[in-house]
Amino acid sequence: MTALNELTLAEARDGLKAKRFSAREIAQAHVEAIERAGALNAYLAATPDRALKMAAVSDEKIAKGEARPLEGLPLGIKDLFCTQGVATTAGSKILEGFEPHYESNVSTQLWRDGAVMLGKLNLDEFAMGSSNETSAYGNTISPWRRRGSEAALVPGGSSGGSAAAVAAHLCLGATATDTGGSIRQPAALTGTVGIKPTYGRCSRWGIIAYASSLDQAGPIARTVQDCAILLGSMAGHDPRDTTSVDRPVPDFEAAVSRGVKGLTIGIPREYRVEGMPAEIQRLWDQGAEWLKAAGATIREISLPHTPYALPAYYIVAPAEASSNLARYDGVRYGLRVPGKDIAAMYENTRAAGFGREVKRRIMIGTYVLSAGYYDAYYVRAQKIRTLIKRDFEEAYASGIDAILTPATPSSAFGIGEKASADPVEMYLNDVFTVTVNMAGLPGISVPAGLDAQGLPLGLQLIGRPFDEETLFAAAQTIENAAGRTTLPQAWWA
Amino acid sequence: MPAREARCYSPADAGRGLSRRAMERGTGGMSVDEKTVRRIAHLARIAVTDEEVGPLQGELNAILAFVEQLGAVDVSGVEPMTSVTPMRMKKREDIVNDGGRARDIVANAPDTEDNYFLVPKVVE
Repeated sequence: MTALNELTLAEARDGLKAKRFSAREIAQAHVEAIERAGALNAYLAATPDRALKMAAVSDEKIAKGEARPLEGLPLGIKDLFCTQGVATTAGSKILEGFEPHYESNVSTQLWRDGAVMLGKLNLDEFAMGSSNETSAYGNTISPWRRRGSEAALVPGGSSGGSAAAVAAHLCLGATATDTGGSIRQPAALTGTVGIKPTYGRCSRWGIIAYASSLDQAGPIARTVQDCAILLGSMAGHDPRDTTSVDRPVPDFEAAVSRGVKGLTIGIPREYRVEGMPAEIQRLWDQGAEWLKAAGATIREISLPHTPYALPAYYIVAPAEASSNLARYDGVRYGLRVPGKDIAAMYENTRAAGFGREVKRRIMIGTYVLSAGYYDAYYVRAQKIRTLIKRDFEEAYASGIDAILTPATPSSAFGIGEKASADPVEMYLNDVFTVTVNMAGLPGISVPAGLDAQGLPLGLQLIGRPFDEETLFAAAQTIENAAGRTTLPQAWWA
Repeated sequence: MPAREARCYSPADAGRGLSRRAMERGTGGMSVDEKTVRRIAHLARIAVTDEEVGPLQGELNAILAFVEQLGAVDVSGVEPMTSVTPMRMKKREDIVNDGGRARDIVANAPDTEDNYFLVPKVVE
């Protein structure tokens, strides 16, 4: 029999319903797996007592025939979501010891539906990074290794702890957030599935803000179906977030088996870039073939402003970050470092509390918003954002239902491999994912194969606003054709 | 006209190419000098040591060089984006619907007294 923590979320749900095992047993299996996986540093804090207590409630509910949609399913929570009474750090020293007195909307809905909390997952500091190396609490190590090598690889970022924990069977699924690719890139690098829903689909209330016009929550899980189940619970209108959209949440799980017959899938030529590894090009062509074989029509399209999405992002996101992170001032929560006066206290606190990448982004944001530069940088970037969105609108108006692209420009890299003096080298990881955030669209990353080193590669599907259903249907078609990724053996345990 | 060729895309080589260009551009065009780095740091309320200024300057200029390509885009007549999905700002009723949580609000503060935040003396 498969170990309980190695079941898919859907299998676990069905097994609990059929009383083949108890919520306590599956929680316990995860608690033990987490205890053995300290080497991965995926969890910043495990909450085994809470998990077992929640599981006991779930077992009562199941016994009474009152099981809720996610009853007894153990999940990990990215440490960017505020969890009541459980330390929430955003991966930063500046929030060390912060214990929220409230619960994020997304996690509230997961607990409402009966899910069980295993703990808080590591991330890049304030979700700023693509490798989990900016966390103030140490790197998360990917469970994946290159064939014949023991070199430690990154799990991607910023939701690196979430992706690593899902891939290493340390939870059935995890919450994550995506501002420029932070769900889809780590999912692609770890052989897992991750969806960033349409902006407004999930409430941002209680999620520590990075760039508010781009941030969106979503799940990472081991199958497309598992992601659909989780998103169904995470999504929904919340009056406390003015950008949360008041529209019904579709039955995402039902959409998974719809197929792609009759759909038109666009292949954007601007994503076919010079220097792209041949393996990624091959995989992309293969993905298009799979969709075609399942009844979709494939059509080449143009999204001409694609090359400008990443540079425009590095104006918009830091600008919003510089504003959002102004609240960490040594007064209201977290760290305080004294100074000769209040201004020195602010400056010393922020100098000691923020890591290098966060400081860099706050400073770029401060610069592009400063007098004399605002129009040249920020306003221009927002105009380019309009053009990027228009490219997508024109493609969809011409009859395209979804767009297929690679998820990342390479497979996972080694810890420290991209630590050069030029931060842009790391930023290029998000080149295929960031367009989606700039346009507020939904995007899903689904495993499609392994490269020559034995590392997973993902494909991305981009959808129309609020049409996550088509993404689930098309991603399932790819999952069926590619076969479920065989996740690594537990070398860490 | 929008460029049709993708630039600077490939993972490793493009990154290094950019890096080199950024360093060469160092002092020209839209780039920051040491004095500006110190001014931005102060505006952002982040203390920087003398040793940090040089590396920060290089890193910020690398980012500024990267975003410089946006100058090539014709944005005349284009509205800046204000919302990714067309939506009307929601307004709630003008009534008291929450409150009385002073203890919760100050609970995580480094220094408090009687539900007030304490800060170093501001007015002499």
